Amino acid sequence: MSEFIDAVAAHAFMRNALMAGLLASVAGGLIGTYVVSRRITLIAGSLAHSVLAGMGAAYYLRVVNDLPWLHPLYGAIVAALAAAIIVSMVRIYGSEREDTIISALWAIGMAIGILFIFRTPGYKTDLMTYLFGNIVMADTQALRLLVGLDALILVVVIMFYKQLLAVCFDEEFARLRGVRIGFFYTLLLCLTALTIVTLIYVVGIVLVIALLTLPVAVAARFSTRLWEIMVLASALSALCTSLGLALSYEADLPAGATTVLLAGAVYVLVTVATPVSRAARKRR
Amino acid sequence: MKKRAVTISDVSFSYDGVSALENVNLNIEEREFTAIIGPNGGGKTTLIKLMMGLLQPQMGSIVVFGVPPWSARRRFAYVPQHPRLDYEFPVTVMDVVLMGRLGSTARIGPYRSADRESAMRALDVVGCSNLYKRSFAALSSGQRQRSLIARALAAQPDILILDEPTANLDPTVQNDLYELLHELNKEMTVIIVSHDVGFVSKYVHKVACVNRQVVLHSASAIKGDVISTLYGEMNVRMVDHDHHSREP
Repeated sequence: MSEFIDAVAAHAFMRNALMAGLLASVAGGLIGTYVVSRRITLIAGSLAHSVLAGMGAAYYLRVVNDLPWLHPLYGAIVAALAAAIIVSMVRIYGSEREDTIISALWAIGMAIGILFIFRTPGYKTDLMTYLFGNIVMADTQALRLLVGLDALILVVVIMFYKQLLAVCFDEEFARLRGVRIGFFYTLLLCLTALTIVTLIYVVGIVLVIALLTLPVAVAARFSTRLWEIMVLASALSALCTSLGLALSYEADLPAGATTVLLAGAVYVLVTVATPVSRAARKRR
Repeated sequence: MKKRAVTISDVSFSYDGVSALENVNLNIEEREFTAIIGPNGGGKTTLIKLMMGLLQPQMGSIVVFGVPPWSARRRFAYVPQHPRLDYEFPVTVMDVVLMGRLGSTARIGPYRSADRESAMRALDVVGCSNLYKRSFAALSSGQRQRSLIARALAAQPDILILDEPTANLDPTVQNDLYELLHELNKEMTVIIVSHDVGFVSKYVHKVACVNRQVVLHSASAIKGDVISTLYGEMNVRMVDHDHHSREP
């Protein structure tokens, strides 16, 4: 562990990596709680994978048109938001089977991304970086973007906590109370999209869903209030990303996978350790 | 003098060409206790959704307190049927009751202390103020029902609508529920929906039997022929809830 602390003190990229993990944990804990409670993890998975289309396209345009400011994260944001709005429209207007659209976006997004990355001339960024994350690649530009996204997500959740809760718990009742459920459902999916973008740097597209759901699943064992679960999940996620980074550094393992396995191990331990109390709570 | 709460005139509604309600006329007076009964699929839920402005009639008109239903939406409070909610959802009873304040409280930021007080009063009315910190998932079905009624009351409605309020409740709890609704009825219009023709509480003033068409009865007038019109020739008997009539 001391080796890791030395590395953090010595290298800016390690500090950036640690910072990125902490920032992503805040967004992940807040929005992951809505995602798990509302049972839309499948949608979150679809949004995460469709992000590759945007990242690939941004990466391609950046190289081909020599646009150094065009960070792949911008592409990720555009693609994630577009996918979120499509899923939300399908749900609101019911014009197509929801799960079909979710699966289609999942695969089509990835296919577009792969083609763009394949066609990008010159030195190719490893596809694996996007798929499985590379937290030590988090540069200052990315960090600034993460801070902005975090702030945005935090402010929106504080402003509309009660509406989002009501829309997740009982849509019909919320509508009768004059809450614009279409708007808030779309807002929730857009927040989910932005959260996924923040998490992609930490664990990559494929593993995002773990960091969005596992800390929440653990936190939900210890509280029955949404905001408490948010705080607990954020803290747990911060612990897992930091510890995951440290372990991966010491043992020379991929950081994303290490973090996810750590979160998974905590989840399994807590699930095995608390079945009795949970069953008791349900029966009470 | 009592005002007219709901006026439904010549309303027809169909889902994709399949008729759900035909030429419905129904008036509900202020502070009346109305039961909307009929078989499943008979159009009961469609009827209340039309009243609340969640659906638009294809023919006819609906007026609620002198205005169209969608302008009067907040004067309704609706207690839905059980199975629509996710009981794993992490909320406390207080969280649920506070949802009744949406639309009355500030749009941005958390609930105000006035909202909390009003939610607490509503819990008090239904006799559940001691449960406010409990997980909603941990409640018994009777307590859950009362919490949902408290949520509706927190909205300070003029019309309270309950969808199948007695489903999954044992007879004692059902009885308590009707006593509670009777109390609430002194302050507001109460409409209950039930597929159970057999039950009509002695507190109900008016019974609307819905099976594509609406037939009105006073509470005491439901007889076997009405039931057979609704359900066909089945061996259904009316349960007599008018306990006074049995006295010599």
